[in-house]
Parts: sequence; C-alpha cells; structure tokens
Amino acid sequence: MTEARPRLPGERAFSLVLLAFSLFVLYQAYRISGFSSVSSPGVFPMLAALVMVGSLVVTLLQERKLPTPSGSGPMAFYRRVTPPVLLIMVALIVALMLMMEPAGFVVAAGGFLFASILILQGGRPVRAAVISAGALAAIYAVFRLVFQVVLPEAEWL
Amino acid sequence: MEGSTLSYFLMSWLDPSLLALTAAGTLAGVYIGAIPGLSVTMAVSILISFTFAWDVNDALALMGGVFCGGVYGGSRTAILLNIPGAPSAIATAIDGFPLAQRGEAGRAIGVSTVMSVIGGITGVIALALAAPAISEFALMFAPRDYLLLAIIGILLVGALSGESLAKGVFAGALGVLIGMVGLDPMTAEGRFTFGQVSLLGGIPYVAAMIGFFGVAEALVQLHHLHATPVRQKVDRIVPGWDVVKKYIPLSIRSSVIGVVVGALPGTGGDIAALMAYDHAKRSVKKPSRPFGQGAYEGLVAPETANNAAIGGAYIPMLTLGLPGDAVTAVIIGALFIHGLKPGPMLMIETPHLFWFTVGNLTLANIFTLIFGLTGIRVFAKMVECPRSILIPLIIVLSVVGTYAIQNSVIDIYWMLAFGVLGYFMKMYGYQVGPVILGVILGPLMDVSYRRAMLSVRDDPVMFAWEMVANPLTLVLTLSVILLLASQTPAWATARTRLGRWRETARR
Repeated sequence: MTEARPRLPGERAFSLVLLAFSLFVLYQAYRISGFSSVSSPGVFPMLAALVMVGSLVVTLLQERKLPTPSGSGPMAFYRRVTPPVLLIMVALIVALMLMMEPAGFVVAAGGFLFASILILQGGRPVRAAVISAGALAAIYAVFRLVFQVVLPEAEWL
Repeated sequence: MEGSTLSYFLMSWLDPSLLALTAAGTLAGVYIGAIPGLSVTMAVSILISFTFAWDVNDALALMGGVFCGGVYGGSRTAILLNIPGAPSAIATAIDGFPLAQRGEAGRAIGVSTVMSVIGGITGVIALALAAPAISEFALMFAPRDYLLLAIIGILLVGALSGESLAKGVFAGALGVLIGMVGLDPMTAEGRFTFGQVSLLGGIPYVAAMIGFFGVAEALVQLHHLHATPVRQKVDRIVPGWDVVKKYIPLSIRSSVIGVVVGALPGTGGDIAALMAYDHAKRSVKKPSRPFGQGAYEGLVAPETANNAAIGGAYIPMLTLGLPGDAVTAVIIGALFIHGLKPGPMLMIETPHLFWFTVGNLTLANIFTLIFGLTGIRVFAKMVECPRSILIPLIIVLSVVGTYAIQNSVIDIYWMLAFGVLGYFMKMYGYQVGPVILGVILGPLMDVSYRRAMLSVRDDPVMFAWEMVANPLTLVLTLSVILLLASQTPAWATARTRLGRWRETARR
C-alpha cells in the first residue's frame, strides 16, 4: 500500500528464517494427525502453515523487486536493525526477568529503570535516580495497592 | 423489559464507582492516545492482566473509557506536534499540523474534539440499533459462515494496513498457529506441545498481546529516541456553534464510513480515518483551504470516522464474537478471562452486558468532550515526556502486566520472545495487528471449519458446494474471492485498462 521503501539489511534473511520456521511448523502440523481425515485436529494447523509458507514465498518474490539496501553485510544489519542501544535494552529486560523472583520486584524494577534511563538519556545519574524512584513508587502504589496485583517479593527482605 | 434496558444503560452513569472508572479511563486514554509510543491496544492489553480479578463491569468500564479517550487523544499530538499519537490519527496530522502552524491550534483541537464526540456518539447509536438485529440474524449463521467471516477479517486487515497482502496474511496465519498450540478443543489431543506439559494449556495470549503491542513497540521507539517535538501556542479552544454546524453534513458522512469500516471484522479506526479523509478530499469541492494546508474538512473527516469506528468495532464483537479491530480483539480476550463467550448468545444470555456497554460508551464520549476541552496546558507538558523515560516505563508495565496474569516468570519469557519477534516483524514491514486477530480468530476458525466439514460427512465436494449453495454463504465466499483477486497484478491491469476505456469512451 505504501511507497516502495529500500530493503533493510537482513530483510531477506529474516524472510528466509520465517520460511524455514514455517516449513518446520508445517511438518509438525502434519505429524499431529497426518492425512487421516479432512476434519482431523491436524488439518487446520496444516492449512495455516501452508498459508504461511505460501505468503512467504510471495513476499520473497516481491522483495526481489525492492531496491537493494544501501549497505549490506553484518555491519549494516548491526547499525540499522540491531543498534547497540537495542541490544543493551534487551539484555536489561532479560536481567529484569531473571532478577524478579530472587531479588523481588522493587529491587529488580528499580535497578532496571535506573540503568535504562541512565543509558537512554546518556548520563545524569541523579536525575535518573530521582525519576526511577518516583516512577517505581507510582507503579507500586497503583498496581500493588489499587489493582492489588501480586508482585514478586524477595524472601530475604 | 424496556425499563430494565434503561437501567442497564444507565448503570455506569448512576453507580459512582463505575462513573469514576469510566472518567479515569477516558482521562488516561486521552493521554495514552496522545503520547507517541503509547497505544490504546498496548494499554488495553496491559489492563487485562490488572483487571481480571475485578467485576466484569468495572473492567469493561475502564477499558471502554481508555478506548474512547485514546482514539481521540491521538489527534492532539497530530495537531500540536505533527506526530500522530496513535495510528488512527495519521490522517489527522495531514491538515491538523498546518493549522497549528497558522496559529489555529486551539481552534483545531476544539473542532476535532467536538467532531470526535459526534462521531463517537453516532458509532454508539449504530451499535445500539444494529447489534440486536445482527445478533438475531447471526443465529442463522452456520459454522462455514463464521469461517468465511474470519477469513475476510484477516484478509481485510492484511490488505489495508500493511505493506503487502502477503505479509499481512503471513502475520494472520502465524497468529492462527499461535492460537492452535495446546489441547485441541474438540478432541483434547495435544497440538504443537512437543511433550511439554506447560504447553498443553496453550501459549498465554495476553503475554503475546503485551509482547507484540508493548515490548515490540517500545523497542521500535528506540530508533526515535531523539525526535524533538515542535511546540505550538494554544489559544481559545471551544469552537462556536456556527463552525460546528458547517461541518455537520461531512461529519455524518464520515461517521457512516467509520461505522461500516469499524464493523467489518478486523479493520478499525486507522483505516476508517484514512478512508474518510480520502472521501472528504473527493467530495468537498470547496474546502476552507486546500487539503494538506490546513483544511478543517481534512480534520473533521478522519476524526469523526475514527471515533465512529469504535461503536462499529463493538458490533461484530458483541454479536458474532469476531473482533472488529485489534482493540476489540484484546477486549474479547478480556471477556474470555471473565468467563464470558462473545457471540450471538451473548445478547440473549447477558443482555445487561450489551446495554451496559452502550451506556458506558456514551458516557465515555461525554467525558471525552469534557476532558478534550479542558486541561490543555497540563497536557502539553505531559506529552513532551522524553522517550528515554517512557520506554523503560512501558517495559516495566509490560513485565508487571504479564507477570500478573498467573504469577509466572515463564509468561515473561513468552512476552519477551514475542516482543523481539514483533520488533523484527515491524522493522521489516510485517504488521503485528493481524497476529492478534489470528490468535483470537484461529481457534474459532478451526472449530468452525471442522464442524462445517463434519456436517457434510467429511466430503470435500459437498463442502465446496455448501460454500456457494446458501445465499449468505455465497456472498461471503464471493467477498473472499474478490478480496484475493483485488490484490493480484491482473486486477490492477484490468483497472487501468477499464480506466483508459472510460477515458476514450468519454471523448
């Protein structure tokens, strides 16, 4: 629908990965009940997987027509699609996830907020600390007290 | 019966806590819609997990408010900052921002507020009038009709909102497969469970929703970390009656577009707004200024249409159990969690829920009017919240929201996995909206397909015959074929040829 945009680095690779995944899913769907009957539990998953494979083949054909990306290779992909800030944020989310149960929500989320705000705004630790403390207090008040959500708490606290 | 209908309708008006929740939801919605990076779909997905322990009316009141306020709120940022706060405000920015540059930001906001509410109320009226009739009609729908309607929904949203139909259809089919994981609803056989007990219950769809709409969006926003908005001066807001009166005919036409597009399964306010803008451009011969340079018509049409689409989107949701757009797909998820089954029987078994929704949406529109015309100064400050703070906040809220569903860290792994997948999909031009539609529609399509097949004793030839034998089914089948055909190169060639033929015929 929109104007043709130049292909991004890694776009074809992504479509190919999705295609491989779809073929795997198709095989798995086939394994549910094979071709035993047209109303068996495996038929609809197989149809959906077939649609996935088909639409990706069409997408791959359409992508050939798009202008090639300005840069290519792993470096261009790294710069345009997975810049350092993205990788750092994902790593921080993983850390938040792993720390939530052992350290408790307040410590884990507080640490996450402080670290990520500090990195995203590029310094100014006092400002980051004040903002994350305020935000954490607000989140805790709203969700623990108003919505009564159970948040993980550390055992040693 | 009439008396009880009225009492259901007025439920959220008279109960102080429901009234307060609707007001709070609408106010929050205006800001959520206005702040670029926060979307209504994101907010409602996260809200599901916080409100599942509540009474269903309380949860729906809050979500309805957020929905109405949020669709409206997107226009504010579109006008003031030239950044659509939400996808449904993309068309609003085309004429809204030039108006602000001319120093008419206040008037533009005033007009868009009043028009949003006119659109919103028209949508609710359409819901109140059409839904009972459609619901009765829907009792005649056979499983095959549901299957076709769901296919139409996925095709429509794939064709209209994304970069290409193929990518949209892929996203829809991926969603369908995500919805298939777990125990088969008809035979209780495990599907895609890989021998894992934790997968028997399926992939937690709220985690998928929050991943796709919360985390993925936050990660994409990292690319726009340093976008700085341009400030605008805001003066008088409340528009005069003469101004409003002038645009009423256009707003009614746009509302109709909004209701119809909203009511089509899958397509929502964003598409309705673009179509209404296009309609205004074609139909208004003498706009107040040329379109794109600050025509009020270019503001009125998308704003009425996207709000009218809210009422429209509730129509298939409450009558057929099919989501009218991504937000109603999420709300269907919420209804499931509350043990309700949206579909034709919902109106019969729980009529109070229907009239409560109608009353609640009306109320939310009134609150939109109140909050839209006040508090503009505080608003300008809030919207400028830097993304370096916003993005970490979205992520923490997503994590808390996902954890809250069943207090399990595994759900957060799912959320992050879907978030990262959604990030790459968004970067490479795949829409994530169809995935969520697929997740909600997948199990319904599967069961409908198999029931339809069983009703013809597994005979594929009879199945194909059934698709054209009944008038209603035939219309739906033809729609599917037409939708697919309209995306092929042959269709485009045929259209240009037809156009050329008409040109020559005219001469």
